[in-house]
Amino acid sequence: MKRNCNVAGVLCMLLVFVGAAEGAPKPDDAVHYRQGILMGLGWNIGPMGAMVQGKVPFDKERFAFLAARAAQLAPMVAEGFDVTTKDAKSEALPKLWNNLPDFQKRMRDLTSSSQKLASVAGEGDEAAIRRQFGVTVKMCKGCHDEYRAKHED
Amino acid sequence: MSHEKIYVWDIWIRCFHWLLVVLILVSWWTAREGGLLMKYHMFCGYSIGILVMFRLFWGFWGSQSAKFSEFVKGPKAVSRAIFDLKNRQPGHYLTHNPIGGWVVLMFLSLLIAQFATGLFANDDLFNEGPLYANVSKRVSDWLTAVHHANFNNLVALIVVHVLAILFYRTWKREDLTGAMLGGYKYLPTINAINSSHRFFRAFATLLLSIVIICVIVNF
Repeated sequence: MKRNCNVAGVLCMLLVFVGAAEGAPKPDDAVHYRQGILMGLGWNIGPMGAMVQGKVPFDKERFAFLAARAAQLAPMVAEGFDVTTKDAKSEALPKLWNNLPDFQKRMRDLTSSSQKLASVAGEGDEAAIRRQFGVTVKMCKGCHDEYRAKHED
Repeated sequence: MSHEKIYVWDIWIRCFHWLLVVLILVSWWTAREGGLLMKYHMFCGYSIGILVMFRLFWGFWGSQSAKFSEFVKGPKAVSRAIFDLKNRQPGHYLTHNPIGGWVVLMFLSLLIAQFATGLFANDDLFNEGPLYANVSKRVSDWLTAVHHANFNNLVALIVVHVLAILFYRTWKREDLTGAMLGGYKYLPTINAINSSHRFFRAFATLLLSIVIICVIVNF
């Protein structure tokens, strides 16, 4: 009986270790994760931008659908910018890690403005949608300008 | 030596210069704001393209002071003009002086590069230059980076230009800004230049420039 308890204890400890290992993804994976989420954001923002700019006819239903997806993706981005990815190969500038509080504030702003966009899009007032879209993409640009390397090969 | 008010810069050169100033400022601001304002940034870009195209043509068949053959000079004239900088008196040029002539060519080159790279640029959001579809994302990203870097070159040259104007004003007592605004320079009467407006020729050149830029943009 006692032996069984020991075995169970060891197993429990092992499980804890495995669990800990699962909780700490490889830095490269975190980079891929955030790049994927950002790609997904861009995927949804592109057609919204085309509608707002009048390149394609404004489809309120589709816009609301895209805005809702963007609002779900936005809060997922920050998770990929874990400090463990500091030295991983990515377009994030080193200064991002020195200004982490500012970066995280920008992430929260992106989240709130994209959620507002989703709710405004649901209401269907085109002028308000345009305005809130402008506010939201400014959040994107702000971080790109500040913390993202320019593509100089 | 008596001085006379001589008409040096025709209305087209003056419009070119000051419109360029306004358009560069608006381009800079709209790019900094980004997002939905990029529409106006692109509009400024096309307008600058038309202006530069016009200036190139005007450098061949425009009024005398605007011609490249008048102000693009060899190393001898340039070194003489550099040597002359130390003298505290106006240079009496009917057009750009030999140093300024090369600066004009540098400005035009930088603007052409800026216009050309902007056509293929993207902002990673939803704005794309009109020829973006013709290149891969990778190439577009690279040209966008060149577009950004070249803007810094442009700013550097603008700073040099403004400092030079201030230098001529304070050290050589030469009012180049006034000449670019009103068109007149006060020069010894021995000088003469034919700077007529040539309205018909200017309109035809402007039209040609607009057509060429429209064709490029919609290629």
